[in-house]
Amino acid sequence: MSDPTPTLPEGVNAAAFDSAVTRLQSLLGPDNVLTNDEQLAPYSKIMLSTPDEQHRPGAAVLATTVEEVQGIMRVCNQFRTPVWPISTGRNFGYGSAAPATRGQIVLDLKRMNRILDIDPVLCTALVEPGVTYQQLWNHLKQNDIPLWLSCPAPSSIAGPVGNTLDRGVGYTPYGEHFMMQCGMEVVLATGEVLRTGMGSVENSNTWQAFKWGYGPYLDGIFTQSNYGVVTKMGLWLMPEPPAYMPFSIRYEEDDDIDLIVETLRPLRIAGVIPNAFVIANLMWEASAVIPRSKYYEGTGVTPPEALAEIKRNEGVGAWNVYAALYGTPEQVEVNWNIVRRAVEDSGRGRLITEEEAGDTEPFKYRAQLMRGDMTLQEFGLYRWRGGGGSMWFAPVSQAKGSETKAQMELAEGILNEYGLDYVAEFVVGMRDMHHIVDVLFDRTDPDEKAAAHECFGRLLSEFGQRGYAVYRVNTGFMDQAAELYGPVKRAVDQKLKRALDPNGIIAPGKSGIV
Amino acid sequence: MTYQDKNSIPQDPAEQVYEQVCMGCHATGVGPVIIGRDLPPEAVKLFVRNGSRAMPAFTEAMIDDETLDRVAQLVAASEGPTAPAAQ
Repeated sequence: MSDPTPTLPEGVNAAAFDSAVTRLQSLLGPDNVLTNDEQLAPYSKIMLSTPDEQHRPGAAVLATTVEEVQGIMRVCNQFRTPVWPISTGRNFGYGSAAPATRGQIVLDLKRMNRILDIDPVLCTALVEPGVTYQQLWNHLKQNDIPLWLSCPAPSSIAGPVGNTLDRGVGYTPYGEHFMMQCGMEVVLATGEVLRTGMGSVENSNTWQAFKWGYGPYLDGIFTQSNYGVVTKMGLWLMPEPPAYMPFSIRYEEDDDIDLIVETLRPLRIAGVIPNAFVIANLMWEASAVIPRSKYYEGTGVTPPEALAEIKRNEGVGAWNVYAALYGTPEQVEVNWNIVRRAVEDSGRGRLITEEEAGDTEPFKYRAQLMRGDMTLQEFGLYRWRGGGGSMWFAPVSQAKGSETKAQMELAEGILNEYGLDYVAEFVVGMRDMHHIVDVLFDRTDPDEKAAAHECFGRLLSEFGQRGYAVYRVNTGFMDQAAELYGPVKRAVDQKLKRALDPNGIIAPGKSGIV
Repeated sequence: MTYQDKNSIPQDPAEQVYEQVCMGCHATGVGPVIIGRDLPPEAVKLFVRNGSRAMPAFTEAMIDDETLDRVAQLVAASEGPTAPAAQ
C-alpha cells in the first residue's frame, strides 16, 4: 500500500499519482515500489542549503531490467508522473539521490549492477548504472586484469555511469571521464531503446571501441540532461603502467597560484604530466587530516592566525600540487627530470616524493586516487566545519595563472562576506581548470544554512557577470546556472526535451530543463 | 583504507560492506570510531538508513536488509579502535 499522504509532484493530483503507483506495483512487484517514509528516508538525505521538503520524493522504484525501465516510462507517461533516475545516488554536494523538485518518483537503478563485459585487450568495459567503482575494482583484482580505474573522491560507493553522466572527473590520465566514455544504451521516454555510436549497427563489435559512430554524435545530449535513462555505458580503462610515480609540490603563499599554473600548464599540455592533477589549498589539504576545531573553536571564517598555525604544525602548504608520472621506468625518469627542472627554474615550490611522504595523509590518499584506487579519505572535508552542509561551486577557468588568481580572490571575498571558508582545489584539465570550491556549512544551524544559500547564489551571479560559469551544479541552483548559458542555449535544450520527452516526465528541473 | 591485492577483498557481502564501505571513513579518522563501542545494532541500522550530518544515507538497494543486519552485528561485536576518533 502506498503512504496515505504521499508527497505529490507539482501538477499531479493524488488520484493520478496513486494510479501510477498501483500500476508500478503490478509492473515491478510491490516490494520494488517504495512509498513509506522509512523507505524514502535515504533518498531524501541532502547536503544542500535548500529545504528538505523541496527535494522529497513521492516514491522510489527499483528496476532490474531494461524492459522494466521501458515499462516505467509507459506508466509515467500515462499518468504524467515525473521520474528522477539515479544510478548509485552518490552525487554528494550536487543533490545526492534526491530529485530536483518534490514528489518525483526516484527511479533507482542500483540493482542493475552487472559488469557486462571487460575486454582486457582493448582495455574497455561495459557496465550497468548500479555498478560501483569498488565493485569494478574488486572484479578487476579478483580476475587478475591489470587495468586501472579513474574515479572521483567518493570512489568506492559512487559509480562510473552516474559520475560520467554528470561529467565528473577523476585524477588519473583518464580523469576527464566523459572523454573516456564509449557507447551508451538509453531508454527514451517513449520506451524506445537507443544504442549510441557503433551500438546501433546490427552485430557490431566496435561499440566500446569507437566513440563517434555516424552522423550527429548523440552521447553528449544524455549527459547532465533529462532526455533518456542510460541503462548501459561503455568506458575505457587504463592499462596498468610498469612504473608509477606520484609526487607533491608544496607552495607557501596564496599568491603562488599564478606561478604554479604558469609553471605546470605547459607540462600538462605537452603530456609530460599526463594526469588530471590537482592544486589544493591549505584548508582542503588540512581537512583530510584534521577538523578545524583543532585550531579554531569559533564560528565564521577561519582566522589567518589559525591558518598560519596549521601551516606550521601540520606540514601543509598554502597550495599543494598532487601529480603523477606513468610509463616505463625510463619514461618516468625522463619526465621526472623535466618536472624537477621546471620547478627549480621557477624558484618556488618544494618537491615531495613518495619516499619522503611515506605512509602519511594526505599524500597517501592522493597517490591512491591518481592510480584509481579506492579511498574515502577526502570525506574529511565534511568534518572541517561539521554539520553536514556541502555544495560544490565549480566554475571553469582557463589554465592561466592570472585567471586562477582572479577566480580565487573573487570566490574567497564572497565566501568570507558570509562567514564561510574558501576551501578549494583546481583540477587541471586539458586546457581548463575545474575550480572546485566546497561551500561547507553547518546545515543544523538555520542562520548559517541561510547564509550559505545566499552566498551560493551570489557566487553564481558574480562569477557570471565576469564571464565565468560552472560546469556542474547542485539541484537547488540548476535554473540559475542554466541562465548563465543564455536564452538560445536554454531554448535549444528545451526543444530537444520536447522532441524526446513530450510529456516532460524524465527528471524535470535537471540542468534547468523541464 | 586500501586493498592492494585480491586476497584482501572479503568474500562475504556483509564483511565486504563493513570493510570497504564503513571502515573507509570509520577506521581512517574521517568519521567517528564505531568499533569496540558496543553500539546497539538497531542504532547502527538507523544511522545507515538515515545518514547523520555528513554521513550519507544508504538505501536498501545499496545495502539490503539482510546484509545490513549482519553489518550491524559486525559493528556491535567489533573490538577496539584502531585509529583516532574524529574530533
